[in-house]
Amino acid sequence: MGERGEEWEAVMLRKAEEEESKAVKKVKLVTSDGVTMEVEISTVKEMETIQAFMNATDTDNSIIFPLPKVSSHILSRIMELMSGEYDQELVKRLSHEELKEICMVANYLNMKTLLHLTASAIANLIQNKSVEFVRHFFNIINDFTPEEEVQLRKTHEWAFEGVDED
Amino acid sequence: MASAPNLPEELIMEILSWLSVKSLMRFRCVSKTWNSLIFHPYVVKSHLGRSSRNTRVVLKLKDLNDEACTLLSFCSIPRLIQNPASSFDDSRQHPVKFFIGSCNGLLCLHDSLSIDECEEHWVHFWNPATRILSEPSPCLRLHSHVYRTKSCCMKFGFGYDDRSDTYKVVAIISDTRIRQMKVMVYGMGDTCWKNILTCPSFFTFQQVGYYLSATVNWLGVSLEGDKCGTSANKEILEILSYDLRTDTCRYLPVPDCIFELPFSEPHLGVLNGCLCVSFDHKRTNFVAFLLKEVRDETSWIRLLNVRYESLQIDGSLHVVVVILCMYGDVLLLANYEDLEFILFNLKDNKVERTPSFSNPDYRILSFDYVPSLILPG
Repeated sequence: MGERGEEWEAVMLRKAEEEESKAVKKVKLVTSDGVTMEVEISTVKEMETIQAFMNATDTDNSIIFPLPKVSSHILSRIMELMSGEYDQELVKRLSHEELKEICMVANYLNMKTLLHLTASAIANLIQNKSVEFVRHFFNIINDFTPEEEVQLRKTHEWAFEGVDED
Repeated sequence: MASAPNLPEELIMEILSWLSVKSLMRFRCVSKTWNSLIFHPYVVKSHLGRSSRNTRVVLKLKDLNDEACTLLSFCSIPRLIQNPASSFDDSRQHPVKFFIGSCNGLLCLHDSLSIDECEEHWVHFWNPATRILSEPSPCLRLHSHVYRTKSCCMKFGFGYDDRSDTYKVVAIISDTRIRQMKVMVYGMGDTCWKNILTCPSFFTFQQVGYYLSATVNWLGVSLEGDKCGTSANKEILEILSYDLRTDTCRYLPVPDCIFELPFSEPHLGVLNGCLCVSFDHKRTNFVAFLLKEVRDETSWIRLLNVRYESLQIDGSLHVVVVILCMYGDVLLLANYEDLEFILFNLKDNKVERTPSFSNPDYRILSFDYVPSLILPG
């Protein structure tokens, strides 16, 4: 009984220590629209840009990290994706604009898993689409002359067969 | 839409690397920037890394050593296993010149011409996914006193040297009279063929070398009878492995196999990223070995040793069995004696026969293929 009691004490002590360390290590992210989101240190681990900053400052206390390029809406979407373990179904529910913005943030914060997930999801979206759809999707201005474009289309005529309706 | 900032080029490249080659060829028309990004080295490289690796290029040849007529088709491994005969649907086949090899989505094709005093050989590089064909390479010229003798023969191989980032064609010109062979190499984009080395002659069974991890490999026997103390008509089966990184040759003996003429021809292939040697053993068994690491001759493992009865093949006849591909535990075999495909399960030794292939004149070979954006030249 005595032995088990000691064991129990040790477990509780370890738990308390863990909670204490957890409580200390929080990161405050300040979004472009001025919202402060407090996240756990484990969440920031995947954000290599922030992680590198934290390693450089080497602090144990909670830190504040400004994200002038990220809106609170997009950041909360990213948190949802992370807590949902990057479920493809969650990605499918995003709007085209959300998907593009998340992809940009993933690149900016150097989040590899999220970058792969969103880049491949965008690729899936445009995979079988027309050239016009892609220009509209990425807001691209066609800078070919009509002659140049006709010539290029002729070279790869076969690649224009079986394309989805826009 | 216009309010959102545009994606930077590095992200566009990331997205492009996930698209199919067909979509990418279409999207060259999106803008001038896209047209150049699609062939950016970063995109080409990461696209290759993400391309599915379950496709085979299947060759149908009139004769294994015949240059005249080769039919070529592309087929995914699951489809081949499910319905092997479908890959020989005539509408999906390309007639090609003599096939030398397949590497990173490029195929290398050979052509030749005899004129008075000499014989000229050259190659083309072809990317079937982008449908871009290169100009012919410079000629490799052989003078009549060499090629007009029956003792001379040429074998080819094609592969990628990752150290120098070069696609290389290897030509072996062997002269059995003087028991020597010359190795000539052409690097894609070079202005000429280079004579790399001369070494003792080696008899290879198949014309085409198999590419794997910066090496090109042929299966054959050394023509030095007394080298291993074997008698005149017994030879040690070996792989001649040409290392494209170092431009050197190695000989890798196949374990437990004394090749006894004139039994049926042993075969080389690539299965799941390993070299695979398969051969007949005393007309009773069909045996296959895998070389797990192409630069380590101690890495041989036995894949298969099965009696012909278990494959439901009559071993007393002249048996020719070739391994075409592997999917999970299942091997797809072609049996030329009975003109049929056999599915053999390595786990439970179960045999399944599938509809026979129609034309008895043809032999079939299969190589790894991966659709890519690599420019042929």
